[in-house]
Amino acid sequence: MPLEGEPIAAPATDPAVPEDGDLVGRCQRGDTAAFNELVTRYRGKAYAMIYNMVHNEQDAWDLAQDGFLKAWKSIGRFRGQSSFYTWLYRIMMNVTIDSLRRKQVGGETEFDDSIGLRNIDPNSMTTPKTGVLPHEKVAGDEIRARIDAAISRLTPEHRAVILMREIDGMEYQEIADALECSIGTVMSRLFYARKKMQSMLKDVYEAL
Amino acid sequence: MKPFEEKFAAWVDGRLTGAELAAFERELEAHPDALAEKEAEFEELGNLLRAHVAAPALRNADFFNDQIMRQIAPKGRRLGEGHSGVCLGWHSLGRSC
Repeated sequence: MPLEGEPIAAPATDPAVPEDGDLVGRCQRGDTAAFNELVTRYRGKAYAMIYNMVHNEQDAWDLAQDGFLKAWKSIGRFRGQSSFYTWLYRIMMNVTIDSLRRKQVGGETEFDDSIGLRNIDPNSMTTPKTGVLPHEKVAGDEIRARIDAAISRLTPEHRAVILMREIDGMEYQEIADALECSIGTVMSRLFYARKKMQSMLKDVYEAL
Repeated sequence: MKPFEEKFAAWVDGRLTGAELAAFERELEAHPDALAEKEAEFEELGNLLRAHVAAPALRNADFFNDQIMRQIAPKGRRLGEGHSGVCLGWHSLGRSC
């Protein structure tokens, strides 16, 4: 996932750069400067992860803020059973999924994962126009728009697993830890999300 | 359709429950090659996502930190609105801090 060039973890070889565990310990003693360092270290990655879930820069910015504030409030309970980033990732994902669910309940978003290509607005710029639009002309931004639209049709849980696996490259166990569910649940959600995405995007990747 | 594929489809769709679910997940664990085969079916999709899904860089990164620091600063020592802010107010009234 492209980031803003920030390291995702403290290099263990540079003694001048404190490791996450040291910073966490200082945070647990109330050191806000240490937390500032952790925010700087992980803000880009957290923001990118959330952005790919919500597809809105302002929402992603606000949710990442909420996530870090929740992390600060909970850091006293962090026992180091996972890496700090895995723990933070779980918080960020929970904040994001909760927000998406609230929008769903409020009617702002509809997770209609039964949608097929036939349901897409025929006038949309991102509509698959099989046999009409030369595949060579499908621009990168149009492909991205198609992907975003397809991801938006997944439930928050299905979005989370496919992004964690395919974009963040996480292992099943890491995803299960982050989402606090079984590996079996992760795998079945992943294949379900893939199947839905494939049905919505098949014409795109077959054309490439 | 082969029994495995039937079960796999049912599992993906969340139609397996209880003992049937547990048995199928044990079967998957015992036969990683079957899972790998299924993974391969979605390789193109994964390549497409990895090639095109990218998030923009975080804007106003320093302000991002600043907002968090304001929220978590100990009470009575809020960053940017504590001593210096008060002084500014007093100075504007012609008084010193």
